[in-house]
Amino acid sequence: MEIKKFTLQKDGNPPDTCEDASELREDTEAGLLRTAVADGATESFCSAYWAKLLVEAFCLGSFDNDDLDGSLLPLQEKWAEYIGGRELPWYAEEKARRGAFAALVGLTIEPGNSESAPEGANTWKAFALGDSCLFHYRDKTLLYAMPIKKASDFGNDPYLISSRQENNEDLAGRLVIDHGQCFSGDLFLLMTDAVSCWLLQQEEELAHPLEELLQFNDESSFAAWVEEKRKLRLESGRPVLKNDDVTVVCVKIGDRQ
Amino acid sequence: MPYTAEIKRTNPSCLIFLIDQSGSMADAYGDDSGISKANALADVLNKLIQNLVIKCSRSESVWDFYNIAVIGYGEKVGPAFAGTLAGQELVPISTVANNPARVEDRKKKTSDGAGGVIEQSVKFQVWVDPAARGGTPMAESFKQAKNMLASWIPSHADAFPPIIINITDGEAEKDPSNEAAELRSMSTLDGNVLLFNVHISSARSGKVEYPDSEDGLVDGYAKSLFRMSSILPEYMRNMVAKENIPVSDNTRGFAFKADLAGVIRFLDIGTRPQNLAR
Repeated sequence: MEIKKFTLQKDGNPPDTCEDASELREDTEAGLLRTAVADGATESFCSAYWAKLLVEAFCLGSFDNDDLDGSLLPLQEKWAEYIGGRELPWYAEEKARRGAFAALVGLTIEPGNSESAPEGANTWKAFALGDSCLFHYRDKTLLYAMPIKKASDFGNDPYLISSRQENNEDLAGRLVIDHGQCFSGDLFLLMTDAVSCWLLQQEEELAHPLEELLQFNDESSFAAWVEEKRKLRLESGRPVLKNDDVTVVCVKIGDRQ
Repeated sequence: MPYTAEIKRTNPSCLIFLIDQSGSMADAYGDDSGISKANALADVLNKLIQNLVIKCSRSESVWDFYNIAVIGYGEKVGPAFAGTLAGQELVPISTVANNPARVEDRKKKTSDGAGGVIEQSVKFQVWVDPAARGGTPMAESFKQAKNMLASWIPSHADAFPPIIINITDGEAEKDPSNEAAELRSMSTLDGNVLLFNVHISSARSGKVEYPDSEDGLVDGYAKSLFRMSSILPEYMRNMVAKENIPVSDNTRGFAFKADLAGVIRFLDIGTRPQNLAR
């Protein structure tokens, strides 16, 4: 597998304020890969830490079951422990009480093992809650996008996973999961909302966003591209790329060993 | 496009609240609570400031997305912050956050989850005290707001335009239309200063919210306040529409004989940012 990862904080903010998190774990012997991207909601408290807990748990396989609430419980306890005991100013206390929120998108690639699976097929499984997205490309064609499929569906109020369980109403009902087959040469992108929205807009205009995203070899060329996109304006006056933390994880499926 | 500037620490915006502190504000609001309009307004404003501070907080500090001023007009006209901020005009929100005049212990009733009610003790930060004495020198308050902005705007040319919300329960002693027009004519590169007026009343009927013409207004004073109010920018119009209130391109930031819930909604729509840097 070929894996690339790029991340950049919002314009005007120092790097340590980035609230996106990403993680990847590969078990080459088993041919298994798990990767996840999470986007901590800025207005919530300690959302960067919450985002980190979520991606790490995903990559350990903690969400490979039907009990989403149960899988979240140890993470929520860990977050609460991290917050507890700190003396906070009144406005931070109120925010801490409300909890942290984050979107999460995760991908698992495993060998295709059903007898009817074509030769060379792997199985992909996707998991998403919120507005961080996954895109599946083959030969530069977008085969599949989830959980959001249209640029106009990005809003300012996505449903997010909370570090306080009382805020997680019907999380299981909001979870989007899917699976399918993938082959050597297929590409998966896991990205946070601002760049996901940009990609879908480009696809809708029949442009070639994938080519643009594949050109980077280092963080500084990625940063320069993001900065340029943030400055450009659409006809409506809005920026081409919304000023927000940006994370792109790109996984290219290799040949099966 | 106007009213699209991003509000961020390097490009903050301004919120100015003009509050009627005339004698008639001592009258009860008329909602059976028995509390005076002045008390109700002070509570609403303090709660709004608490929420604005929380909105601007990031981790353990408050980011200066806004400068806030409160001008009271009644027996005298001037800055209405109490405590350590007394006498101060436009104050960065982080300074507001760290300097409430006092913190009160209030009781909040919440459901106990079993059909009963429990009382919880909550902290309530206070920056503005109720006051109700004297006449209604509204024009002078508009003039003071104008002077504040005349000093602030030149060094914040790219800012999201300042928003002024005037809350009154009665007629101004002197027609403030000229001063209102002068305020609305000020601008940043992102658009004109917005002046919104909400009239509060203990009357139980005759409420008007976000009209788009003076045709439906019977009261001459209501018509004049309507004319003094800015047309809502598109993003605020969308917020009003979401409340199932009919809107058009001419809808203004104006409410007449608003009840307490109406005031709260008015202030929320007037101060909720479209484009706060995340």
